[in-house]
Amino acid sequence: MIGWKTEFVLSTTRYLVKRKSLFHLLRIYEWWLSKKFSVPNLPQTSYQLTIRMIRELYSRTRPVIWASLFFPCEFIHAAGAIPFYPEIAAGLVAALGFPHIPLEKAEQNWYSQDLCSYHRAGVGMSLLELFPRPDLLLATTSICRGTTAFFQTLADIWKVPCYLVDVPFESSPEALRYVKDQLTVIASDIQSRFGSRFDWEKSFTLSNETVRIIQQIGELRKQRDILLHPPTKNLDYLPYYFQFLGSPSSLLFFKKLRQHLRESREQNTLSHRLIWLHLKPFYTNRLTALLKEYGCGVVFDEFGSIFWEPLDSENPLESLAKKICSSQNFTIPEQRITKILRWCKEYQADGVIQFNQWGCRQSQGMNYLLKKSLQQKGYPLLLLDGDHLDKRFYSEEQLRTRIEAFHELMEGL
Amino acid sequence: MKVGYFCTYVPEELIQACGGQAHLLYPKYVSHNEATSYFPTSFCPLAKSLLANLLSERWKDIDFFIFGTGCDAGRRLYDVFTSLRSKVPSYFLEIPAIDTDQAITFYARNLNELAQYLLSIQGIPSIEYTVNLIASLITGYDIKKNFTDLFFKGKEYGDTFIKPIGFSDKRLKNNPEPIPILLIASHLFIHRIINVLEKRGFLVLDNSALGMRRYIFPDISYTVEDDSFMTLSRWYLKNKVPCPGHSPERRLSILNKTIFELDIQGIIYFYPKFCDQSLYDIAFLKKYLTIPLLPIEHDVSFSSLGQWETRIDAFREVLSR
Repeated sequence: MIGWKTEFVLSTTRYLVKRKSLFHLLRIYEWWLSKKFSVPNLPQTSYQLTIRMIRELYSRTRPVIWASLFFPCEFIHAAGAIPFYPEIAAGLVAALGFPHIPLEKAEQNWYSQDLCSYHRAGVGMSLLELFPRPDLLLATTSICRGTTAFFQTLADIWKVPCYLVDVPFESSPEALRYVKDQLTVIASDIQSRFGSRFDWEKSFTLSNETVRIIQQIGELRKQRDILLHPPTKNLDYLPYYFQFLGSPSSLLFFKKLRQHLRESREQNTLSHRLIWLHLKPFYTNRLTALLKEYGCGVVFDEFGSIFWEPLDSENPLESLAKKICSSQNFTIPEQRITKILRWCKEYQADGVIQFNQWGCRQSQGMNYLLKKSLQQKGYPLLLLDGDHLDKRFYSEEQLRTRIEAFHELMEGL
Repeated sequence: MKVGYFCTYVPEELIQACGGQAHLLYPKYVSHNEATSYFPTSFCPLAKSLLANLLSERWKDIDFFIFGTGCDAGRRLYDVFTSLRSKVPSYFLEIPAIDTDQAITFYARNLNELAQYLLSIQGIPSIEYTVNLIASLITGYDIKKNFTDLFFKGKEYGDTFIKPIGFSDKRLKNNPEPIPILLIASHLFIHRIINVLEKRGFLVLDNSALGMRRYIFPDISYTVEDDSFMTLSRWYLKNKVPCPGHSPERRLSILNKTIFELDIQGIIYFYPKFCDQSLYDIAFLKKYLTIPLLPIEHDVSFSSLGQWETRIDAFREVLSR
């Protein structure tokens, strides 16, 4: 139960987040930061970009559009709107240490503990009115059908229109046209609703340029003396792979990350190189410390992969439809496994870890196929059970035992 | 040819027009023993049970299986089954999650592809098929319209959808003033839970996947001039009673109509554990329905019956007041 002190803090916060003018004041803080850190390092760059995002979202100078993880952000940037990805923001809530508040709020309103905690936290933060108010919701059905119900729930809570883009599993010209036609309807509605004129050229150019840098970062991570620390750090940069892609922020961030990696060559390389599947627990936990303790480094992350072709501003909606359809490769077993095996080879990986998310049926339902295929090719797979946001499912001792056993297995290879 | 399918969005008229016998498959023998190694603990009991039945060859007389995309578990059921039994003829039908005009057109195209596939297996010429489909649609329309009219007149209750022999009538004679309730459920244990509820003095209107969601098509229409595939697509995406997770507002409106016209006093929501669609649906209905709703969760067994009975009795007391 939420106590009266927490309730008071929540009421005050709710009051403050509705004061748009208050967030305009953050400009002063941003100006001060830019003066103090004239050449900001990677964490400082990320911090400054986050502050700017908070100001833009809560001061609402432009329409705020919420989207599901695999709805292409370039569409929203091109429309001149401010994108917000509730699933990513839920991770941030966990990192800040208060996921239990929205999770409890959702549970009090009948959203079961068995549902995905990213979605439950998003529902809870919406019920608490702490997330920035949306003007429109956009979601795809790709990868997980839970997203559909999640966005329908958000539309009901916020009483705003929601467009669901139905994405087939099949890869065919008809499927592509189906997705493109749905995007055409959305684009037309956004144009009339907000008076937006889509600037595809700018958004796509920024996105394509950013992707080239992400690919260069991938090449750097193939080198044995270059590693990101702590091991799962790249997943903290998720907003730059999704929410900011197609904006100058993402480009700036990845340029900084590339520079950071070039300047941080290791003296002693870690003994085990890992591919990381799905996401990770975002609350305070010992996972990364344990990985480090056992000499494991993550060299590639599934959610940081580039799964689409360069975007073409001459055929913007077809190009985005292709990107959306390609995202289904994360959930079609043959295609996902083929990609994982390719990463294992290219990044000279010794093993693969997937941190299962309690409420994620699509990923857990594939565990058997994944394990069978990777073992056949000689790559050990560790399936860790838990929850990415809900700490009630976390057990440090169990985590240690599993990682220790996995380490022994890799040592024996 | 016997064609088995699991999802209520698969049109049986299409299978019949292709010369097949349509069988909606649901586990009569509920177990997950054979599926334990393939799905994790936190996974849909219906998918586990369907896989167990498929692997144990209890449905070996079925010649062809149609899987559909209602949910993530449904997709994984297809993935795992086809990887284990690659030689069993099976087909994955893309079922849109939405009911817009574009989705109806796309689904019509998918149904056409399924029909071509079924015809190619059986060697039935297209001309013969076109005539069959129209005949199947005319019959299908009459059946659906009839069921829908009877349902909203209160004449389809208990297990009449799944077993039209009149078991319910016998039980109801012992309860002259039964309390009308709506049972929302999936595919598992429908007979048994209806039996339990009727013994406790309820008149059960069946909104399970084997009942209302399969047979009731409010607002259904058809004329022979209509395109057959578009008709089927519209019937199943737009006219059928939606399943949880599909078109929540239309679903709510149909439930409200049912509650109003049949004087429903309460809802028992008997749902499979780990079913995301049901879990979201419960929260949605709790918010908008004005009559009491009792959620009861089940796994692959009926072993919690004692506990359920206590809750059902308490629920009956609430409704009696």
